[in-house]
Amino acid sequence: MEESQFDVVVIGTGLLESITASALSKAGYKVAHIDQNSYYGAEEATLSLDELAQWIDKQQSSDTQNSRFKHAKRSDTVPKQSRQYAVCLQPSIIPSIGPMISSLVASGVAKYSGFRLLDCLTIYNKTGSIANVPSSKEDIFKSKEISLLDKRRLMRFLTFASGEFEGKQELEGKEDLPFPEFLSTGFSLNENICSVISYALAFCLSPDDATLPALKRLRHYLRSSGRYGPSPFLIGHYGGTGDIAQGFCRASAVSGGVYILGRDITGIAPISSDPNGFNYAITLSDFPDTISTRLVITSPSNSPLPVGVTPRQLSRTSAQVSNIHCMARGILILDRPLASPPQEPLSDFAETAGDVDENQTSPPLAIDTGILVFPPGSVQGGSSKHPVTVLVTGEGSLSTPKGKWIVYIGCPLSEDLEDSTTAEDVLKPYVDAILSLSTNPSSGPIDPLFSVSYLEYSPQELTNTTNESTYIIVPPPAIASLADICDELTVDAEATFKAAIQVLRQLSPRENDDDEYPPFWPPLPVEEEDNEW
Amino acid sequence: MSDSASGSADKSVQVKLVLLGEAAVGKSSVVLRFVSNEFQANKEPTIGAAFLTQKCRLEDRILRYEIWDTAGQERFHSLAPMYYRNAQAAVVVYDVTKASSLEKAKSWVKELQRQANPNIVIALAGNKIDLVQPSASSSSSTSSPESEDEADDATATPDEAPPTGTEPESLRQVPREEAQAYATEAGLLFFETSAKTGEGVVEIFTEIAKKIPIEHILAATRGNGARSASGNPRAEGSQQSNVNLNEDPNKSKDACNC
Ligand SMILES: Nc1nc2c(ncn2[C@@H]2O[C@H](COP(=O)(O)OP(=O)(O)OP(=O)(O)O)[C@@H](O)[C@H]2O)c(=O)[nH]1
Ligand SMILES: [Mg+2]
Repeated sequence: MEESQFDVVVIGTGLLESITASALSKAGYKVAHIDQNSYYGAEEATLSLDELAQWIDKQQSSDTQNSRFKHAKRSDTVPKQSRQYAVCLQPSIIPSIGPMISSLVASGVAKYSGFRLLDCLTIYNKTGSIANVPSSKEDIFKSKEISLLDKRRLMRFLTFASGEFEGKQELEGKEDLPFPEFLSTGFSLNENICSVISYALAFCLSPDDATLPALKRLRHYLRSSGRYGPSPFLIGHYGGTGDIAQGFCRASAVSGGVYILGRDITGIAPISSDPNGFNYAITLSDFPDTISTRLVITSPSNSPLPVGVTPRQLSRTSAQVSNIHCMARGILILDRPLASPPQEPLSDFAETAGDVDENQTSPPLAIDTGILVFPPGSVQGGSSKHPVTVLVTGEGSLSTPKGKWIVYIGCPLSEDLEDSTTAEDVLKPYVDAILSLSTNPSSGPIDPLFSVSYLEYSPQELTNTTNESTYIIVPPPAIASLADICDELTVDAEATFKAAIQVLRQLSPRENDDDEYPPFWPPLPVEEEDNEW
Repeated sequence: MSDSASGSADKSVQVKLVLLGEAAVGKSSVVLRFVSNEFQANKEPTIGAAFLTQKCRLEDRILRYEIWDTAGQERFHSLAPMYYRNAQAAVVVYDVTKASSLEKAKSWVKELQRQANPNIVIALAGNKIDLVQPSASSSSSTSSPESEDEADDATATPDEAPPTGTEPESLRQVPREEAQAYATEAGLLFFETSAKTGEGVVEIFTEIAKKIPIEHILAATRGNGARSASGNPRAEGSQQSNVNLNEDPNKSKDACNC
């Protein structure tokens, strides 16, 4: 093949596309990976503060009826040391067991990136304080504030949830029940405990979340704890999701993938009956050659559907909640940390909070890398229906300069907002609550150095499609919890990889093609022992 | 991978390093010399990029270099930014027998200073110095003192060991002092190297190691700065927050499933 001829052109460098590109390169196909942005990661990118500000401005100027991002807003001045921040448009934590971790290890990408355990998982209560959420049975045993009876019920539930519950009598006929209801009726758990389990352990996005998928997620997280440390969750250095996407691009490049960033696609023209089997001619601005390819993998947000092409639309393998199509997002930069609660876990599991001892505990610790969950109805003026999940990252994940923290806020929405309500309005009660959680309460609430807010919509699948197409549209990204998003994108990437292989084998059979699919990740070459100078 | 036992308890510090420079100046050869102490006379151009690791001992510390060797031929200039963006060190290589390669090196340095981490340590390496040296006997790789004397007059014919056949000095297109002056002005470490003989290669990496703010990297990635700063003893428990995904997961599989 000539220099500008490819088996596959992948458009967009989001996590799903990057994983797919890297798997195809490793399977021996010639891949060109194109992004019109000058940075990697597309809608999951990790950006510097300057880049984030530009991104917000760009969304603002292109805010139309169908845009994916609306109401984008930011503070006027960008703080100094912009390049020392790594802010991710799709913040995530990664369960220690699961598709994302497996792919990171099997592809070798884990070697290029750094990871750290989550320090703490906390939950907000109506009194305006936060409490640690236990991640193990041991934590629960140690708790002094749960009544013995509640402890026993909770243990019974956790044993059930971490085991093979499929087909068990407790679950029979209740698979679709709202999860909190299942917890209270099936296991007699009190309201506080139901809330902690649903929103801080199973990361439900609404009280309507069905029981079976919630149980499966919970089991997944329970089993993840202890693999790398006490927390079930890891967070990627340098901004997480976006940096992981880059890692896969690096792996793709090592296997010969060609990268073209920062150039607009000026045309994708179908070629009819090319003797060499190329189906599309792609032209880029500022670029002399026309790129020919057998197969295109893209999404409507990365490149509009060309005239005369009926694509193949891939569907999501799993979707956490179908009725949530929008997320209000906020990002704050702080120069004072949030305080983590006293170490005693689970104080919030108690029906009556025992606040008496509070004054005797040592000064609060700063959260460097942690999660704070606001259950529905926990904040005045906030959502009574949906939980809000907050991720804090700091220097420990190499995403900020010393003494600065990034706070990501995500609020799922199931109803359309009234016209006059902005993302900023939706988030305001949470922002206020967060800002009053400073480590130094006497100095009053903190002011953010910088803040942005916007709405993120989940795109629809295309409808006019055919399974026979060589133009593949990847599954549209779901609104998922930050604990789920990376695994979902990985699973969808594998489905995309398989769909691509299927077509490529028809278009250009290779000698070693057999009936089996190639593995998603071929075995890594055996590494030589590090020697030392 | 196999030494999972050391795992996260390992005292080594990871340093991300990227090699940049025009095609064929010898980036991959310099890395190959550093990592395997080998040289290949006809090394193929790098496609995309290559990833290698090498440990390097510095006094009581062990640095683990994670090296990205980029392709000088990369047509679309789309990969390099991804490699230098989070790098703590960069080696920008030129070929002493090719003046244009120094110009390319300068443009890389400019780009790094504009786009990379402001604290990045940059080294400039003039490679293929063996081609402009009188004989192949220079296997002693401690370079500095004598070559610095000679540097005053790069065109002078060295008085001993006459060149074999050709006149090597005439191949030199970048005088040492010119590159040295540029490096000083731009705040770079500077070396002349030969991947072929090994001269100067290890020095690049040990000198970089001395300049890297190791304590800072350690503090940021290992402890959690904020917690230990609060002076609370409870923070000790969460010191091992960094995770090596390649550690054998089976070891701890049954340890604690809640
Ligand atoms: N004489 C001599 N030849 C060298 C030296 N270093 C590299 N070469 C030769 O120069 C050629 C190019 O070397 P590479 O290491 O592939 O160069 P590169 O900079 O990695 O090239 P790209 O990967 O294309 O960017 C090879 O034929 C090497 O053998 C050196 O120090 N002395
Ligand atoms: Mg090379």
